[in-house]
Amino acid sequence: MKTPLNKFLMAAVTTSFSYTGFEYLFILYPFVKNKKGALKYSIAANTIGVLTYGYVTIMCTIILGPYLIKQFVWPTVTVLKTVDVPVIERLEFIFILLWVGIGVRPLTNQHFEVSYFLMQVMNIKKFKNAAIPPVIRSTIIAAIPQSISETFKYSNYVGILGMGIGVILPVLLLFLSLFFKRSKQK
Amino acid sequence: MKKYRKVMLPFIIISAIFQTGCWDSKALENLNIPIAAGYEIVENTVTNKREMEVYSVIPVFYKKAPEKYIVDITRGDLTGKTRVKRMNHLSEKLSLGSFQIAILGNELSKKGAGDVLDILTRTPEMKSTIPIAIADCDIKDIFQFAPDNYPNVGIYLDALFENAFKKSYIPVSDVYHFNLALNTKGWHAIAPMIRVQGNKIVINKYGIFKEDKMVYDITIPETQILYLLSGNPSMGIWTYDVVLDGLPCTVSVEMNNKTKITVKKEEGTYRIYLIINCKGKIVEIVPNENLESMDKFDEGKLDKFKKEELLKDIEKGYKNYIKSNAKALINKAQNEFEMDIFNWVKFAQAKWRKDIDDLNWDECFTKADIVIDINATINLVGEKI
Repeated sequence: MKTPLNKFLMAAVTTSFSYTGFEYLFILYPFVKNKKGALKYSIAANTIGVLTYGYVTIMCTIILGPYLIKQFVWPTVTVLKTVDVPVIERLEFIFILLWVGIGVRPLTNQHFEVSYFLMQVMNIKKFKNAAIPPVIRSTIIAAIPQSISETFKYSNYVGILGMGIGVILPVLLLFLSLFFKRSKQK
Repeated sequence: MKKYRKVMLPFIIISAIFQTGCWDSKALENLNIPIAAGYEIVENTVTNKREMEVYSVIPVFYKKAPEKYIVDITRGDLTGKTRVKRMNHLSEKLSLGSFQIAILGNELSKKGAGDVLDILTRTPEMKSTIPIAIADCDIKDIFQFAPDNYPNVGIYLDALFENAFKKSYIPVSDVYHFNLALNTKGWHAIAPMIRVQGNKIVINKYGIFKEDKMVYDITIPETQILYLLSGNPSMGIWTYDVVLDGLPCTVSVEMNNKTKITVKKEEGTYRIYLIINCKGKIVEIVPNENLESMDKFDEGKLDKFKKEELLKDIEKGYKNYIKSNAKALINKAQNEFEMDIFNWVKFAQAKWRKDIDDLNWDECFTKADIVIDINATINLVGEKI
């Protein structure tokens, strides 16, 4: 509890990438049928994310300790390596198999949103045609980082950008709506 | 496909249940051939340089092969380099996923085992529950040892560690625990030391590390006390001498022990409070005076042991035995080793992590007051009255 606030904020920048995704709501919101319940469910979804990350962080710190945890790239996988399960032997491989299924979902959501955005902006009629460029873009971007540390460096930038869009954009839109409302009233 | 989905799960469960009839979990694990590997530092007499010598027990699967396993010894400047060099003379593929035992050479442990541990934890194919031990003899003797009833030394060591850690009342030593202690400030890693004794490999003692170097060793009875005092819940059989109603006896008790540790800072010095709670049962009582001529032993005397006051004496004897051994080991740690071999630092770190990180805990430990309190409950149980 003696850790200064600025260190928490510095850590928040690094972890921000994990929380990116809530800004998709700007695109997804028009598709929502039950708009009254949208706020409640989106807060609940984010709370589940926060609690899961919190739980994993606490467990990893308990098992690996504050010194050893810093040495591992993926402490959650390392924690699973410390468990000996009879017959199965390697628990982390099962976890990775499950994670692949879960990890693909944000990727498909992102591609859907980018494709939808392209359809709207570039006036593309067929969704199929709009879906190809994001896949090419992702493949090219995936080939750029030469190491894991470089990938993390880029993911930090994306995290900051995501936070920027997620926080600044709604505030900006709010001000714009207030401004246009007033000018309309005049 | 959807309609088969509901059937799939019960099918898998039922087939798994039927398979247990053929292969229980133990048999299934034994099907996986464990690979044992050893690491030692040696001097190259030609170049006068230190080299890493890596030993591996690799199974051979050819039916007509005269030997069912190979003991490969490869030398290289670094551990990683031996992997490349091994392929120059070995046709068998070394599957790192089957890596189950790691033995560190005595010389390497004394010079520093940090680099080897780094490789063992860095390699993704390897699990972190690999048992780790130190060779208390020439590492070559361990790897060239041919066990009587086991296919190879890897399987022998795998079974030895599995049973020893579960039933011998000694601390588990695997890559994860070892690495955690090695990389945590103020902690000291410990690992069993093994040696070839006749036609067996035995766990002889435990090596204690300061940073990544082995600096001291303790005997197995001392290790059992260390395990108890470190705060680990432990179960085991203890044997001690006690005088019961004027009759000198040797008593064996099976106990469950749990130590509660509290560190307090009082007037500039640290005070460590240990409350050892023990509960268990009598396994056997043997009167010492009749050991030489058991025929003359008066069975009637055993009735006395059932009396409650004699159970109290057995409990008192147990408390004295644990207390005297604990005090002796603490005294050794404080005055001879000058190291917190019990890793009690973690209880201080939990309260004052920042302060503890800035000071030399081992120095504080040597000056610390240690208060031991033991509660023991021993029952007479069993099918015989």
